[in-house]
Amino acid sequence: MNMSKTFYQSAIVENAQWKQILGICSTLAVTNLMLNSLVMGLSLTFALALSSFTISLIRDYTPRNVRMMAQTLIIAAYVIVADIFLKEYYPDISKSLGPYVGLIITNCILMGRAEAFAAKNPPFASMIDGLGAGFGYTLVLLLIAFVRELFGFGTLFGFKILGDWWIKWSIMVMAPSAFFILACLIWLVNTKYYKIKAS
Amino acid sequence: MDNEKIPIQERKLYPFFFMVFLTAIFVAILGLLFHSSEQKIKDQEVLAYQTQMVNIFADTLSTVIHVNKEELLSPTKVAQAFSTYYKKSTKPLTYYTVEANGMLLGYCFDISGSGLWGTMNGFVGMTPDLNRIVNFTIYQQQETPGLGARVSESWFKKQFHDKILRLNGKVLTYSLVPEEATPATQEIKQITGATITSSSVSKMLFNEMNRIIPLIESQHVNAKSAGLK
Repeated sequence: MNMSKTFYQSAIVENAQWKQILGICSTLAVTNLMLNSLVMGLSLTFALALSSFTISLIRDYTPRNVRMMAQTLIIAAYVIVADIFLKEYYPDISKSLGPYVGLIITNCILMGRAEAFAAKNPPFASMIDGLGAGFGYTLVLLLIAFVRELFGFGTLFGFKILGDWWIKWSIMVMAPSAFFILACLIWLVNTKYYKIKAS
Repeated sequence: MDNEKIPIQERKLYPFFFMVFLTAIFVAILGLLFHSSEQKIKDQEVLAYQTQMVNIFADTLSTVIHVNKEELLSPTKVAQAFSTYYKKSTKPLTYYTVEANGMLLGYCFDISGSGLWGTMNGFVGMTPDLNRIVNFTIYQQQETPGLGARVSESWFKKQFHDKILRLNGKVLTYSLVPEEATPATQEIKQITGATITSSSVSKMLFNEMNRIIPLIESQHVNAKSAGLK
């Protein structure tokens, strides 16, 4: 299969969030700041790409009845690697993300891609698929965080955009706002993107 | 036996050995990785803790020992400053006595209380007579980002600098005033939109200091009478 097509397919056409509605929990939790979202997205992409690669690599030797156990084990290992890396080199970001990096293990996107793609396709294609899904996830996170940080804090990536005259919207810094923004995003993508594609 | 004809992947115990093998590999890799970074992570945590505590007395310390405040708080100097000027006591509870050039500057206490979502931990620096707060900081909290989490912002912490905590031997309860107001002796500025967090801070200070101060004072009285004998 064409690599760029695989990437585009899993990042945009079958985007985990706006098409499959997977991995929503972390979308609500970490999108209050752009920086948190970016780091979270990169951590997930790292874990997803490498776990997909590994799962695909051993797919012919994996017994069917224990495959999910093996997948979870592999995913957990890569997530812990990402978590240790952040704790060691970026303790401040690690602290502000709290338990959410570790919770990538339970993120549905990883198991979803492992079952739907990596278990049936060659390693390199699986890695591209993982990178694509990770990119799609990061994109959605950043879009939501853009709205939340701009209106909630008046900043983007910590840089002041809106002056002191701006009255910060408290609702934007709370988790429920991500619900509304995500819903609007899904609605927008469905009415504009998929309708046009279908016709 | 026709055992030999069955391919290895279809044998009964294969899944078991497969999982054991896979687990062993990944545990080994993670173990090595964790072992190599464990010390660095611990060091960073200790440094962050010490920096917060030195920061409490940074102003007083820098004038007493004639060192620039920025220099005192630089990552390379903090550990040294901490071990030189902070003396740990574990009885009757864990606290630190801050001394420099033979002068008692005050005491530092590690206090905790419940916030809106979880436990908040903070440091309180007190003057030697235990009547005024030198500085106060929350070093760990899980409050709502952008609202309650603003307890970590400097404007909120600064209002506790040199604030009277005890008047005529009684610990004061701080009541809350709006963010823009100028608080009186018994008042603190609250965080707009985070009333629960703000009052939790006030409660935490009252409860903890009400518990700690008598313990420290009775210990000092005991120490003095022991000295007389």
